[in-house]
Amino acid sequence: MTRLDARDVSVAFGDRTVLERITVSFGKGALTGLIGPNGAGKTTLLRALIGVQALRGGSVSWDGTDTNRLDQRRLAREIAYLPQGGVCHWPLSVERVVALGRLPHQAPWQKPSREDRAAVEAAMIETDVADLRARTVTTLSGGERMRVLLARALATVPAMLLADEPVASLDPYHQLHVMTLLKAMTGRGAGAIVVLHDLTLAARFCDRLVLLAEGRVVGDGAPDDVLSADNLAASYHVAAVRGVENGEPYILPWRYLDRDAPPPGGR
Amino acid sequence: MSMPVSIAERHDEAGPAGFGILVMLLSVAIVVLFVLSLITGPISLPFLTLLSGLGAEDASLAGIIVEQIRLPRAILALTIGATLGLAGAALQGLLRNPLAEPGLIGVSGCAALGAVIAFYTGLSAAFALALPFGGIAGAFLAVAAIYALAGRESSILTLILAGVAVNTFAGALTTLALNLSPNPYAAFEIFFWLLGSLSDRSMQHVALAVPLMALGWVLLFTTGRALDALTLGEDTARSLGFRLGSVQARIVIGTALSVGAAVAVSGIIGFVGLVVPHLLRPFVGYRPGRLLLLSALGGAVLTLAADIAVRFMLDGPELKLGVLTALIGAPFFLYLVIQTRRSMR
Repeated sequence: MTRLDARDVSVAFGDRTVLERITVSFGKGALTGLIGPNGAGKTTLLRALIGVQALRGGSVSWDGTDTNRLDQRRLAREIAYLPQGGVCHWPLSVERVVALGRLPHQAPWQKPSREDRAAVEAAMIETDVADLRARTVTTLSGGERMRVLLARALATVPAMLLADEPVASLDPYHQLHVMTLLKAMTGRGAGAIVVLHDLTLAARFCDRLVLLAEGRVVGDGAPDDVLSADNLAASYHVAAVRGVENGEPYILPWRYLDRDAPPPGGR
Repeated sequence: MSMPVSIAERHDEAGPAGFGILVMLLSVAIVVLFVLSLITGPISLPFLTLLSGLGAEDASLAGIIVEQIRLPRAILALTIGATLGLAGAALQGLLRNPLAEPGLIGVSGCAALGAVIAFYTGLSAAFALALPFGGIAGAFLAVAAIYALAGRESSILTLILAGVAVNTFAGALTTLALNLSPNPYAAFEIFFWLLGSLSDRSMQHVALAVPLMALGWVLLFTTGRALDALTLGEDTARSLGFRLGSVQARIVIGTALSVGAAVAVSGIIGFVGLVVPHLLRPFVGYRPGRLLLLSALGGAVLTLAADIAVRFMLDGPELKLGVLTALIGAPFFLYLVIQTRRSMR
């Protein structure tokens, strides 16, 4: 089974250790939520996994081979990355931005194939941006732009998608829409690692949650277990209201806790 | 889903066709301007005389004028213009900044310094080709300095800062050479050469500069797809499978070779690399990779046209080409700065 493995991955910016000996594996066919408070190292872990972050120690392997030894274009076809924030430096049309996701599939000087165009089209329809195709991407709202950039990542048709806060700037409709789409994508066999702050979306849609705090994995497993009251108190310093609606969980951060007080349940 | 796919196909079919037409129009303009450049001058040569002059074995006056004066000038205008347009487009794509210019990473400044040193030491008086060699050496030193300062894995911001540092240093040393020059004529010579011109250049200059420029073009043209990917930032470009260290190296070395050789022959001809990419960018849907070829052609058109125009503009001494491009380019630069500020809030 194709897997993305981090082994003993450490990252430091100067003297500050951001990730400390993280060992974690991500398989295909699962939607994994990467959660944790601000500054926990979620973005750095994604960047380390995709190979754009220099490691202080450890290694990342894809399908058992160190990613540094793999052909970069092959890797780019199989693992797609959607960074946080979403920049586009030139005023390209939406369709042309999405088409950039096909670059790893095209040899130099090669024109887009029928397959390329179909993948671009399908990605635009899935993310609900097909109507915006001729618009200039720099004139879109933040949420629209994020969906266009997600479409760009999906157009690659990757085996594994790493998305950094893909729903943070979306309206409620599109938050649910995108999570449903990611869930469907993993249902078809691809893997996805998604950084999330919305705990209800994390609890409802993810097959597995990895909780990071201060550069370490402090929780890993089924959403119910990872989102325990103790974990929320210890990592997020919040207490939450939780319940079940139609058999699905919801969880709402309700009040913040005194950081200095010992969290309930020890630790 | 069949309908949207057909829309996509029409989109893509219109793109390359429009692109092809533009490439053809610019190529025709280059041919026309090249011929005009051979015809135009203090002694006007009708087209037929020109043809016979080019073909003739004997040393007729027309033949001498065309082959020894105007042909090198036209070839240099074409190739140096293409260099400036191409290098501008490539640097702007790499730095993702429409204000970037070949001079930005210090190559023009250092090439000029190298040539000035050749003036100053008297080497150019003893040995005519010392001037172009000095310029090329200066360009390579600029690249070495950029590498020492910015390194292979560095960010694009570091590259800009390194370029500014190298450029400032080259400017300071050039001024120092002017200041210390014991011979006022040498200082004059340096000063006028720095203004940038293509007059009185020989086929020797062509033979020395053009192969190096062509080598630089090849390197720059390989970076188109990576520049497209860089539109979405460094992290996304890397995740799309492009090694940014290699892209940076090809653009820096390609720019050094082509612009270094160009500046050594012509002096500093500014703003072509700024104006041309900006004007042509909308025609390629703002894709930086597609812009490379168009910008090279556009640079050749602008420089050939400007080099013809300077022959008419003054009755007395010929207006320097670098002065004309600066007069057009500087207000344009100001306009771009204002526009960029507005779009950045």
